Amino acid sequence: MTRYILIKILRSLFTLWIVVTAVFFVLRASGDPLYSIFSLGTPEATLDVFRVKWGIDKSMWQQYLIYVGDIFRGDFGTSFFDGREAWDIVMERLPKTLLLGGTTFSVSVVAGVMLGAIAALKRGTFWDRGIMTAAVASFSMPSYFLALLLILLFSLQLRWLPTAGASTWQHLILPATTLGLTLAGSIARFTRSAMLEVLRQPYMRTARAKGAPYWRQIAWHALPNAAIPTITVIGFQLGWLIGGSVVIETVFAWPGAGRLFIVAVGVRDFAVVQLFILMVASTVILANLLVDILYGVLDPRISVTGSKS
Amino acid sequence: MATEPSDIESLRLAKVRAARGPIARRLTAWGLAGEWLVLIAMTYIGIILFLALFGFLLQPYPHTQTDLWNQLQPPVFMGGSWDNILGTDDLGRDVLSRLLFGLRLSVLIGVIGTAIGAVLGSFLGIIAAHFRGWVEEILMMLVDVQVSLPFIIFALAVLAFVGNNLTILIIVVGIDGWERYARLARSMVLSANQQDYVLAVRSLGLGNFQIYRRHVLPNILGTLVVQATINLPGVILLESTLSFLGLGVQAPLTSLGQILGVGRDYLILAPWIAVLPGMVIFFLALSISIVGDWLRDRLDPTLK
Amino acid sequence: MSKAAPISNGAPELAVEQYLLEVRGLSVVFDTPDGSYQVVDNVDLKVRAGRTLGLVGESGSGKSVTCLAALGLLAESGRVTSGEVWFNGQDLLKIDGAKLSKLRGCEIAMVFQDPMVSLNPVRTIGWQISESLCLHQNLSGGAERRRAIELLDLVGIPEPQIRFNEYPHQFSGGMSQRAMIAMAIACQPKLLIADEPTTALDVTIQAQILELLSDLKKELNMALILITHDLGVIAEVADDVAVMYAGRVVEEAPVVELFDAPLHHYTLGLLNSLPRVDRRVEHLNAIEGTAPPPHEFVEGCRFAERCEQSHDACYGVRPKFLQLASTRRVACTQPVSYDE
Ligand SMILES: Nc1ncnc2c1ncn2[C@@H]1O[C@H](COP(=O)(O)OP(=O)(O)O)[C@@H](O)[C@H]1O
Ligand SMILES: [Mg+2]
Repeated sequence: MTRYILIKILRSLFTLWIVVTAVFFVLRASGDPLYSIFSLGTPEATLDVFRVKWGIDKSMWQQYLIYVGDIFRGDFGTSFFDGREAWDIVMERLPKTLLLGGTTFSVSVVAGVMLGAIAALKRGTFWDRGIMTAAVASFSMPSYFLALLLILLFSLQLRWLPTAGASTWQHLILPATTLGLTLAGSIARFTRSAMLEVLRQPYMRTARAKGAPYWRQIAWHALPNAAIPTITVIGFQLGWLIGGSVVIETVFAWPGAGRLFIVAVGVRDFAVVQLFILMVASTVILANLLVDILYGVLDPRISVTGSKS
Repeated sequence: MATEPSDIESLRLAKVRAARGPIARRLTAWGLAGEWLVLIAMTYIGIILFLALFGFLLQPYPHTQTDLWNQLQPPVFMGGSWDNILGTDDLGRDVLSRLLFGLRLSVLIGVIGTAIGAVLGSFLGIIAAHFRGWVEEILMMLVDVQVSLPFIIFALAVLAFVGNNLTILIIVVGIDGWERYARLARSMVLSANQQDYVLAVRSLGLGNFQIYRRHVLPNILGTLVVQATINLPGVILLESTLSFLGLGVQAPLTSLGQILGVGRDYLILAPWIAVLPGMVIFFLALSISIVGDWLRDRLDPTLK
Repeated sequence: MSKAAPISNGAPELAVEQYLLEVRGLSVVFDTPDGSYQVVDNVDLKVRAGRTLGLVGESGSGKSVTCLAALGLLAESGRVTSGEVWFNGQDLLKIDGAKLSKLRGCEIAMVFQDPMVSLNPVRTIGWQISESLCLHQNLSGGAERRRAIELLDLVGIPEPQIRFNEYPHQFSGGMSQRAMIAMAIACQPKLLIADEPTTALDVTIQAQILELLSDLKKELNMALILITHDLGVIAEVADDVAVMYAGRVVEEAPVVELFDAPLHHYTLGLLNSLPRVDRRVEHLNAIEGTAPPPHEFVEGCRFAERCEQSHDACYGVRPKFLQLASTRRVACTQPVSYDE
């Protein structure tokens, strides 16, 4: 098991390195950033001063080596725009993103798993059909459009909730709902199919044959088994959630890191964009790693063989 | 119970024969009888495809024609005039005309993008399965990389930094989801290569290319097409999101997402600008999902 | 029509209570996407307390489904369309779910066909055995554990303390089967149903499991329904035998009589395909053809197609049971005759 996890960790680090490298070169393929920052006709001499200052006078490879070296020293570069450390700029925004993401994630995991389990247990009934139709509808809905509809209804028509900003808890409701509906929908779908798969396994019949009451069959026999594939999927949804929050933060003017990213991308702020992507990739990779480990904890078949065949 | 496929087939045929009327018979033959949701979804997709192909014939005005005396006019059903059936936007452009044009581009990008992803991913998957060894390792690593970065973030960064035109947009949107096809194709080819008949034709000395073209590809094509149908709504939504954020389709072209992005600023004054294209996209994605699920259940229940 | 009325036959009168389990006229239908099939057709079974009933028949003849239906354990797609299952004076098909749950695992237990997949993969063997105890007996946690280890020991699992904490995937087929048996006998049931307990095991382990079952039976004084397609197993363990073919019982007999003088041509065919020391057979004859699948079931004798002695009367009408003794009957219009 330890060996298995070690290999996984190494692999994750390798993946992260590739992401960082690829992003570095792709972003740089766009040409000299100074031309998009300074107005036309700025004397080359002035530009050169900045080139030296920001270290973009060197060759691409040198820049890359310096960049990677700096990362190891915890230096993620300075923003071309306000001259502050990229790290500080992103960290300032992170709590709001974590608040939105964390709320959304926990609420939709609970709701999604519950709805999915209900749909599976009531298979073929009105409940099942209702929940599944809602689930498909929820991830066919463009999240930004759902956001606008909710704003239209709850903010502009009913005037119950604020449209933008993040100063009170009421501000959290609309963005979290928008993001969460889609997430809950897909989690419900996966939970349902995992649950259906488990319910027709022979060991569920064994549980019945033992005389276990219905709730016990579900809670002690079915759910732990259904959790295994569901956890993986939920882990993968984290990446989706981060992508979605970039859009939703923008629509609701939520002052989080996602919105920062959109702004930074618009003005081609290398350091901030790179750091954001690095953080997102690390988070997703870390989540997948945790899922793998959790998988091993939940599924006793893994710990012995090292990996599931 | 191990019912032979031939039994199922004969039972199905019996049901078909029992169905009354030519339409009912055809529906039953395709497994569509009673599948109202799927039928409605198919009809909607049909209409959208028709509008995407021939909508320009119905377009009352050029989609770029502005009329500053006639801004933010409501659609007919909200008390507007018949000149602009679906109203006008902030520059007095006819919303119906813009919808028809945008629809065309959205569908085009969605379909081509999906095709790119499907072909690219499947090709890489087949290559990996064929060569195994380090080729396969590299591919799986690329898959890991792709999975570790939410695609929309990657797309936004590329479009903003590398620059943006229709070709780049289509390529970027097309890359989305390649890893799913790659995984699928790889595992299917791996198992197909173990099949007796493939081993047999191989021992007959048939070349690799011929084997893949004649024996392997036809067997995995169905699954890949189902996967593509399942991916299509995601690709359409991706393009619309990018355009909504202003990093997708650029003026003077327009797409549904872009119209929505403009309409967002006029949500109170002129909600129709945003709501109409939103509805079109939503029902399109929903319909394709419904048809995709139906196809999957019918052709390939093994796909998740 | 097949309901046997023992009274009418001059046989000694038998009160219903004499049987621990009595299945009467049980029919089961499966609804599949391609239609509904009746896979069990009016089956009667009788099990006396402390005795072993061997239920024998080719695979697919409905043995498992009959027993599952009797315990209310059918898959969702299956339903009982008629019949009664009397156990301890109550009809298991009529009593409510809670009562049935109390009986299952306590008074009646079942060991399923495929032990490897019938154990919950994410729970330890110990947990699963303790659960049976916990559901039906009031034991403290420590006592529960001790009892479970005792049970593991009883079914011949070496190092039970260690095995207690292991997971099903760490168990071999034979060991899983033993664990399943331990779980089933945890509450000392009056009736144990063992569904093909030796299939998929190798020969030495088969013998061990059979021995274990007969030992336990004696020790706990329980009745046993042993489902198998292997007449050799029946000969070793069973007291009475019911032979099933294509969803119906075709012959019932005490084991000695069945082997000495089978009455149904199907039973005879089965015996003839068995290597035997006491009867000199020139060569083993397997019965020609295969058993029909459920969608080809007919009303008349379902074996007629393969039967060398079949004649017009075999077709169209379901063959009536010929009651020869209280424990001996056959559903054949022209049974095998033994007048030398
Ligand atoms: N869940 C099910 N759905 C449909 N048919 C079933 C199901 N379970 C069993 N059957 C059918 O019932 C018949 C009897 O099966 P079974 O009782 O398992 O036979 P066996 O005598 O080998 O135990 C078979 O034809 C089988 O195909
Ligand atoms: Mg069976």
